[in-house]
Amino acid sequence: MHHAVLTPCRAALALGMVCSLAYGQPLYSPRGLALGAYAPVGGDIREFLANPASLPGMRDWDAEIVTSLPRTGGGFVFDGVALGKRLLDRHALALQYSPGAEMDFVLPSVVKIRGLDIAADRKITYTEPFAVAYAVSLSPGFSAGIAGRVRTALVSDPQLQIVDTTIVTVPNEARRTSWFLDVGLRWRPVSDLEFSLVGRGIPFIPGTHLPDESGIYERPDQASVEAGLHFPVLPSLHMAVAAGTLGTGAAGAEWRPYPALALRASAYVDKDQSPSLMAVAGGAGWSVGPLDLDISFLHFTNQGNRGRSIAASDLSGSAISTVGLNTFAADRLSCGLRFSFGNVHEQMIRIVEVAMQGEVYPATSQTFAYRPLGKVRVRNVGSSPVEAKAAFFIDRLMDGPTESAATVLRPGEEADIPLLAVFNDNLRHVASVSVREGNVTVSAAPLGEEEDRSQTRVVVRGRNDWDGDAESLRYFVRPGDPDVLRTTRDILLQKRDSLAAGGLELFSKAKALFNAFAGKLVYVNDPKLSADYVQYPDETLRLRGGDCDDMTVCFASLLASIGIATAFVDVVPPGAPHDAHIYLIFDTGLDPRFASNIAQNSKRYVVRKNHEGRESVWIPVETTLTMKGFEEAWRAGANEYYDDVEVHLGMARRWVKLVDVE
Amino acid sequence: MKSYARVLGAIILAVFLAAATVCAQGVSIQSIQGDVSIRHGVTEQWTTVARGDVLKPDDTMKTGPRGSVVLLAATQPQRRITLPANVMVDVADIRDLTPEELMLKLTMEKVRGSSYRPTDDPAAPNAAVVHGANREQAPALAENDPVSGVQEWNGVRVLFDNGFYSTCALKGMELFRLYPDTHGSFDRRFIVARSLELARLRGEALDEYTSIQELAGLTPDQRSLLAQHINQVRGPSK
Repeated sequence: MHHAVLTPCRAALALGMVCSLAYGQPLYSPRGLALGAYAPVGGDIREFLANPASLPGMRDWDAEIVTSLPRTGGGFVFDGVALGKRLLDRHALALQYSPGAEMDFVLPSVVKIRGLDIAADRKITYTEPFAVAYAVSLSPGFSAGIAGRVRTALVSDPQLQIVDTTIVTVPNEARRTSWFLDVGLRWRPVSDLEFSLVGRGIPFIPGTHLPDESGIYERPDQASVEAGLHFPVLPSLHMAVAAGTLGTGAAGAEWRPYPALALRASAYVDKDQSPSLMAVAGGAGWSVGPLDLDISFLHFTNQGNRGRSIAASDLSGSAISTVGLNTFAADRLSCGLRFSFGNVHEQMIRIVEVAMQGEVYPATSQTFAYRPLGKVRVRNVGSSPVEAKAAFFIDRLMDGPTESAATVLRPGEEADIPLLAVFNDNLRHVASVSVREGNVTVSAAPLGEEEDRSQTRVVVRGRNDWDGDAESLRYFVRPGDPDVLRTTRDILLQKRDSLAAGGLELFSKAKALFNAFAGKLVYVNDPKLSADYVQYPDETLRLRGGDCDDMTVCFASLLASIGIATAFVDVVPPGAPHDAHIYLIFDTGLDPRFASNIAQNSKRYVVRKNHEGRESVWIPVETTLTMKGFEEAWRAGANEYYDDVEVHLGMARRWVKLVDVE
Repeated sequence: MKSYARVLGAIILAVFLAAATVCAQGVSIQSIQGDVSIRHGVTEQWTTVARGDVLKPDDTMKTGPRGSVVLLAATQPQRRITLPANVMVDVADIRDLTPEELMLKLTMEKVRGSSYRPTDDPAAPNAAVVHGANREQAPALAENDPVSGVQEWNGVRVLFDNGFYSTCALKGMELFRLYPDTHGSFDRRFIVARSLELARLRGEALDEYTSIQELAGLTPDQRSLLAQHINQVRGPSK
């Protein structure tokens, strides 16, 4: 057999047949194309090869299918499909199959043998059909990922041979299949600010190189590093920029006029291209439930030889080091559909810390329905805004968790949510100080699922404990207590014939009440040497004694039970808090113009507004001297008040405080 | 250690209180003539005094229709105060207050009675209507003794004439409450307004002058005087 080989002369032109310009990551998804600098943005399956570290942002299962319409014609091309899965909360895996990631070049043979239909065109095909990636979230703001990509280069150069006087074509193919790695990091140090660092094209399994005669078509094994930044300009407008060591870069913006609608624009630069502003892109995204629909259009500023014949000598693998954005790529319209599904719950809110603002005093427990007893700091660790609620619960002391109002948090944002508590009556039976476990849970609207929980220690004081604040002492006053009501009614019934009527009625009743206890109550210190133990009025009546705050609370309760307004005079001398003292003034309801009917000496009374906003005559009484009768308690109280308030200006200097008891 | 802290605290308190009362404690009787009496603290009894007696801050001094007394106040500089006939003065008022102290006192007067609604529980419901609270009719009681009122107003005049403008203004305001009829008196309203002006509380003085303009029956001279002081308090227009 005789073999002869004909070496065809190659045409001076190469015909670029670009089926898809998605070849060569990282610009595959329409969202990524429209945003340009996608590496620091990410957060789901879309464009995950731009930065594999973005994969932990997936909810559970995530899939995307992409098609594109190149300007070279030929209709829509199926670019590929990607599938990702979150594993064990912090890990994520993704696969990509991209048959459309292919770029073909055909160099026609000029050898034509008349009458024979023999083709000997040379064809160079670049593909990147598979990719796999893994990522792990190392902390709430930091993740790392690695991706492996398969890249092939196939050179088909059929040979013409004469076999026994017959000219035939003999297949002659050279293929290089190689694996490259991309390694990415993503860091969010503060809310809304994200950094990315990606090492691209690191040779992993280089594969067999093409033969020398085809070596010109090999793409270079050139690794690079790209850094990116993503930041908000306005709450609804975010920007991203990225730049790489190969002299390429991009900047893009995403504006969300509505939560479901995103408008995007970007620009690409390459220092080796002319002009350097190589391409611009725009696009839009629409989100509804688990679906995201993205479209984008990529336009190159220099159309040059894109999508048409080029000189064969211009075709070189080194010219397409970044295949998606190279000299031969054509404008294209891309369309992608992302679908998120699965049952794994994505944590959206995380508790950062819980801080209690003091102790729980049973007497003032009702105020915690409106006034926070602590706060929980929460963080939105999800990718979308949420309404966070906190609930607080102490077993046995509360009938159920008390919820706070909702607080809106943007992704990455932290906020303090106040902790409120509605206690049940069990709290009033806590005899002494104890430490309880407080359960804090946070949930996100609208689902209301529990997102995170934490336990904290709560110091619950005994029922008689007082925090020393005169404002809190009000809550020990119990005008509706049965013992108090019975006592006042009994006394007034006995004294009914001696009570004054009309304008002096309240003064007369108060006087009668005080005198009824003269000699029956005794001043005694607290059971321990502590100023923070207060008896409820029924206890003082039953025990027939107490210290100044016990007596004050008791008489405030007695007077309030017959409709007489009272106020505490809280005296904390400067520099001597241990000498703090508290006594009472009560409202006679008498107009000041008639004050002389009570006393000729104006130092014996105080003119101040009552709860109706009307000025009336108030009487100071030193409740610890009640056992000596009303006159003595009044004289001492008036003396103290005049001395503290008028002579020493204690009220103006803020060491005397009047606290009205409602 | 704790006892040291208590002693230190007591010393601080004593120094503080002493500083606050130095003026009032330093009032003594230099000369006396006719019917002069004194009332200690919150007692109701008036007792006689003698030359050289040192008055306490919570004392009240009164002169009769033919009495007079000269007091020596250990202020800086020392001041001699003459109480003519028919005057009642609280010794605690014979002192100088700083404009800040006067401002705080006036502020406290305004906020009295405004602490009823707690600010920590705005959502808590509050009853706005109380049934049966005022079923009693207004009493047939005697109003405060106008003679005492005149004596106290004369005392206010003495405070003013001796430069105790702060206490003069405060006492005048208290007397308006106890003797509401005097609130219509131009002279008494003017002395309070002028005291506020001289105590350097220009805003309060301006309010008071402006309020006096609304009194009925003012003479042209009185209106002119008010306008003059209002312009004076406002300062030169720019």
